[in-house]
Amino acid sequence: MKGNKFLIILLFCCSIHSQTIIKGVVKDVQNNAIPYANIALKDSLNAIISYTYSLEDGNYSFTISNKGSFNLSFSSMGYKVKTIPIIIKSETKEIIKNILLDEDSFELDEIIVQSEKAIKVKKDTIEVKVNRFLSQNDVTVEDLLKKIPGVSVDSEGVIKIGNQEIEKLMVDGDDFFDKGYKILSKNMPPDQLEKIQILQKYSNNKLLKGIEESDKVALNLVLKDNAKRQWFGNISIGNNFTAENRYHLKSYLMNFGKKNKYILLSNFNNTGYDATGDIRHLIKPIRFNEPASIGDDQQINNLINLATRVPNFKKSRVHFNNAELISLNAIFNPTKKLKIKTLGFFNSDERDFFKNIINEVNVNDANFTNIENSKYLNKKEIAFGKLDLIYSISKTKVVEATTKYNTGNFNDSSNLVFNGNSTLENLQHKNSLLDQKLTFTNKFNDKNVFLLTGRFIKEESPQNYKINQFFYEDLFPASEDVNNVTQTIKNKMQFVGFNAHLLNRKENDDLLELQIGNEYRKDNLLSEFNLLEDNTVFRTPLGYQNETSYSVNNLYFKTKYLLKFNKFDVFTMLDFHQLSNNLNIDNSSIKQNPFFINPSIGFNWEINSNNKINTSYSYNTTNAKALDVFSDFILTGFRSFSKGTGGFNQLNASNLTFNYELGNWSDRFFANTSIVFNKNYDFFSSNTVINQNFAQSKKILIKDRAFLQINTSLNYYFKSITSNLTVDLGFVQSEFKNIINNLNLRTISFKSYNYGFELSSGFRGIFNYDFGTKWKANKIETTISNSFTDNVSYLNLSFIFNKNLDFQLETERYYFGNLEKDNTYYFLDFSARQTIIKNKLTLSLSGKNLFNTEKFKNFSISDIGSSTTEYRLVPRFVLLKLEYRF
Amino acid sequence: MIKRNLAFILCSFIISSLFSQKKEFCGKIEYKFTTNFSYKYVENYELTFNNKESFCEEIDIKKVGNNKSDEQKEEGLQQNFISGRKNTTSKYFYNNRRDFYFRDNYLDEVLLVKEKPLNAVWKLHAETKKMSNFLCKKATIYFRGRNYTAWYAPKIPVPFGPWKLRGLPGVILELYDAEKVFHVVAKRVQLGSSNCSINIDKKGLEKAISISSYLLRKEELIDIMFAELSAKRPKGTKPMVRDKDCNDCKEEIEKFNEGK
Repeated sequence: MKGNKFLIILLFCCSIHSQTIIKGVVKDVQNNAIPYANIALKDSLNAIISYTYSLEDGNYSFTISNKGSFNLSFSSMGYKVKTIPIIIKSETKEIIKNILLDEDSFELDEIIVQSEKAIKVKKDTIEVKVNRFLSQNDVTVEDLLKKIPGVSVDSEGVIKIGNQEIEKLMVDGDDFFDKGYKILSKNMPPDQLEKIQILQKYSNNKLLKGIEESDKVALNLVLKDNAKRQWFGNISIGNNFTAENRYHLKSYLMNFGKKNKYILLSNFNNTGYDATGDIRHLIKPIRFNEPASIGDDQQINNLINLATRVPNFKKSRVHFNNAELISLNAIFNPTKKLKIKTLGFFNSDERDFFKNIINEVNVNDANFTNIENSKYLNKKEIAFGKLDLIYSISKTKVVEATTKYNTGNFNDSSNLVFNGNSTLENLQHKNSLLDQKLTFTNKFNDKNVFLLTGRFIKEESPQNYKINQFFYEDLFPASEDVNNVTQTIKNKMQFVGFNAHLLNRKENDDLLELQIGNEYRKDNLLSEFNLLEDNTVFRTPLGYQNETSYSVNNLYFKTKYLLKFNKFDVFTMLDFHQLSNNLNIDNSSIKQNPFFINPSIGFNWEINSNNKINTSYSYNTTNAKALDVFSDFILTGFRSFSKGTGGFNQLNASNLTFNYELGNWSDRFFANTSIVFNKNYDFFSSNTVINQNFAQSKKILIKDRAFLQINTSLNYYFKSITSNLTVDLGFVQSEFKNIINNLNLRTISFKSYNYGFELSSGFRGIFNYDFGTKWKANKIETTISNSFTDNVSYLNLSFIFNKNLDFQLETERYYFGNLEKDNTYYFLDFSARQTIIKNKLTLSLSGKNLFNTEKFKNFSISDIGSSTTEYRLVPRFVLLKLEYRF
Repeated sequence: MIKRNLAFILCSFIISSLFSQKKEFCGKIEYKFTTNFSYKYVENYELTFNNKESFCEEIDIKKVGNNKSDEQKEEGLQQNFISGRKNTTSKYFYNNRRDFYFRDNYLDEVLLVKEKPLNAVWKLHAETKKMSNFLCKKATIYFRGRNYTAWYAPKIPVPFGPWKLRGLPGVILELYDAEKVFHVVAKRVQLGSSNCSINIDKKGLEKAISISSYLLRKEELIDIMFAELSAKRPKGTKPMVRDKDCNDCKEEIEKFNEGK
């Protein structure tokens, strides 16, 4: 140790020989030392070579190794700068300069310093050069994104800019996956990228940027001009290795070049997974409230549906499926101005579903019990094609043409035992859709965009329904020989619409929107109901055949103004509609030309950081739809007939919403309350004739219906147990009227309370839990009264051992208060995941329905009685899944 | 007349005696701090300095409420939350030439820290640029994982600056790092001899914690916040486990484990 010190001192001594010490004292004219004066040695160009500050006693010293002529400058606040020339020769060892500084008539200076910005942010777009961040270890785009300032990727692969999840991840401005972008970020190699653009205030139509209200963000990956095409993707294979053979196979294969891009997706499974969910956004992108969305809500609703509603738990528990999906998606950029996108897919699925229902009807003079045991088999084949052409006329003008074609073949059958009668139902239906849309966008200046949209939709949905039994003797007397029935429906829809839309962003950020447009929709509904004896038509009863054509022309003018104050936003909307309705029933037609105005107003008010209110009110008039106006009965299920009003109707309603937020989500306590109130001045209700074997329901127009919903959620974070408690309270009340068996109009009051709590932990260790329970009490009161209370609880345990291994256990408990036996059900599922090779190979194990619960029974009530439904469940299986990325 | 003269002499005597007292020359500079990671984030500071010490304190502090926004998504409504600042205790940097202290306000907890001496050495460059009426000279330094460029004004010969970097032959008027995630620039300079008292509780400085305890406390605060966020996760989602090695959580100006 001592030796070392000596060595350092020695070195120091020796090095001093080649250096010069400059030292001295700085004093003022009164001979007082000036502490902290700056002494700088400058070269002839005035560049500072070395500098020091004097000590408290005015002494300074510093060491120089440079030689030559210099200036020594002395400065201190409040004194005049003094500069003296010095020459340092090679033999100079020490220069002593004692200096007196003159006081300066110290002026008060006030300057605004101008400076250019060091951080260059293009308006709403930030560009990041990839090569600055790319390293050899980066296997995927995700790895690269993690390193870019401002971008974060969490352990689930969710990409965020700041705190906001991105809307989409595009490649050269092309979007393939929408919110499912993880497929891309987790698989695409990053080395062909030139730069990454962070797009803020992103708009789906780029010309609406800065004008439309938007808080969306997106990422765009720009490929190098000479990007080499390469295939990449992933494949996951799962199997349970038992006789039942549950399997899951999913693969993505992608190839991106500067000009052409391809994505091939396939999914085969029988584990209840809905494969079309992966591409739903591509088939029918939801552009909520966006300009140029005319016609998005135009479609045919089928009258007959054999695929029944599933109870409110995981669909995959009751679906016995066998799905196949292949999809090819390609984008071509033949020139810089033209982009062609194509999407095609083929999906086939076979889905089994088992359900037993006990229906208790107990109303007026109708008191009976129906027992239906059914096994459904739904088969479908869907082929879909979509072609988008996007042509940029100039930087501010774009034309976009979209053509979609869809054809679906469905074969649904049910093997039904109805009150002991074995019955076969068969429903064959098709759907064909042609949809063309043309949009022209012109951003004629910074603050104004004009959109012109035209759309044509043609949809046909024929249905053929057969029942090999005849349950309706009471309706059709003298039909003893009838032993089966058929119902055919030909449902056609055509829509033609155009819309001109102007968006004007004011200087003060207010937004004005004006729209003028015309929409024409024509529906044709042909239906034929036949009573058959074997294969011969025995009778085609009157009052059960429809030949309806209904057309609505809607000429409208819409205005919307968004007014922005500091903490207060107000929007007002005023829509004017001139309708021209034409209804043709069995070749006699009637006309009507109603005019109405739909106003609405709303505001968001941030009273202060802890109190926020938003509320809106609207008055709406809606015109009757095609399925409201047909005049004769249609068989819509094996024991239900329904028909419309046979005339025109406009329905008036008021809607009020109110939301109050106390505190903030990140506070220890916060609460949110929302209230929805709807008042229908007119509404469609029904007059239903109920019989044990059938129910005939006729739409009728009734005055006054009210609906009230109040929800409150309270949150409190308990620091001591590192857990968050949520308490939910809800109340729904509605009152409506209907007619049963042609008796008097009766009022039905429905009340529902729900209350529950959830507790979830945020432990730092391996283990975490979350637990919750919820009660729901429903009550219906009319001529009869019905009520029940159910409870659902869950407990989830999570073990995250490390980055490569985690394990989740999920349990659920259902309790149905009104069931006398079999009223409690338990479910246990688990999943485990092990990363074998990072970013390459993952092994996962998932187990479903480990208690092997076979049946699930639930209870529901209605205004005519109650029903108990029993579902058969997918039995226990454990799936081993291997995911490989290439 | 005589009386008046006397009064004048008396006055000037007092004044000159005042002048002969050591004059306290001082200045105030307002700075704009811009941090550009996930968000472009702007803070305003005011540096008060004299020959002996400098005190740069955050000004115009606004309570930032937590922010919530809703987005309509394919899967339903997504809610985004941005956590704001409730504790408006100012942050500051205090330099008395011997010691350096800073006060941080991290996740609404106030932390007073004694900074280590600045070991890195400035490299002085010949380049100059004019910032308003000040001719500034360029200096560069490597500090806690980043390369910084400072533009200092030799005309104001004090070794102070708005942030932790200090010790140049002139006050720093502009400072930024090579990746441009952090940028500080002067907006207004006032020099004079009055109204620049430095109000700091010097006794309170004795309670300052060390850099290492500061870093430990910050980690703890993140853990606490993470636990709370994780406990509030939506039903049915995996708990969030903090990954201390993740790339994006190193989004900090100072990388304490890299360099000095």
